[in-house]
Amino acid sequence: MHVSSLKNINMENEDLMVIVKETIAPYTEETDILENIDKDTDFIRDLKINSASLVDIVLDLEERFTIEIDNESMAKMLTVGASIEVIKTKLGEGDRE
Amino acid sequence: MDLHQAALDNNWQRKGFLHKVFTSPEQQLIQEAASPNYMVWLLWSMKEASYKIVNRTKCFRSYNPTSFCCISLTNDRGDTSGIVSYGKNKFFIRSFYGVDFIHSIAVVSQQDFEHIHSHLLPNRPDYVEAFNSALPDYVIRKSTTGIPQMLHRSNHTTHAASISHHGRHLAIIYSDVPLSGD
Repeated sequence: MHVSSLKNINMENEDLMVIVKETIAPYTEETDILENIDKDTDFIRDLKINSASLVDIVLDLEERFTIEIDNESMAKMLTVGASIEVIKTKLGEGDRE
Repeated sequence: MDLHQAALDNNWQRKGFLHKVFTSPEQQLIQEAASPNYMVWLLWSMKEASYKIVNRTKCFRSYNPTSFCCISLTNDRGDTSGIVSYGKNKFFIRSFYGVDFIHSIAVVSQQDFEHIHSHLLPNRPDYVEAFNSALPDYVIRKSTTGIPQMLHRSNHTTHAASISHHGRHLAIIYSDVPLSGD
């Protein structure tokens, strides 16, 4: 039971990672880094995404998941992993409503 | 910042964009501006310049453009002065523009402007050589933590510096006051 629920969490993270990767692809020229992204990949330092484009990425993710990302949550979204955490939280909030 | 590059990369008219970046009074400034496009990028560059100070002094990173509030903008023949407030901090800003760029400088104290020098260059990989050969007194180097600094050729003092690049433009600013410790 414990193992299978962990597995679900991992799968969910992997699915989210794929979608995040697709979403950020148009905004980076660092294709090699994009190909090998992990949760620690930094949008600005590693993927060299311009800071104004981070807003576009947040808006794209909002549309993709039909969620609303408040400015406080957006403040954390500097890495792939942090963004996945925000998306998960927002999806969870949606479920509870 | 390169206005031509911004027009290519970022559509600020997209639904939701302004709301995520600008406070309500800033959005009003944009709406009422003779050139809303210019105002968007002017305010953005003021915020970015201030963010650089926070990022350097607090070693803290966060993506919160609406926490940087541009206030008290005054315009003098196209050049803009203003203040950016961030929590309890206040930064003083001077912005000037060219045909296709806006350059904003943020400082902690008004008097700092008297000691700051700007050098604008094309954004090319060999900009360090270009700068070093253009200025007789200073050379650029990177500190051990990767932050750019100026080294005075004859006094051997180190000076605070900042490099910004966007699209085709690059700006190097530095202070003629040596960093403490020299």
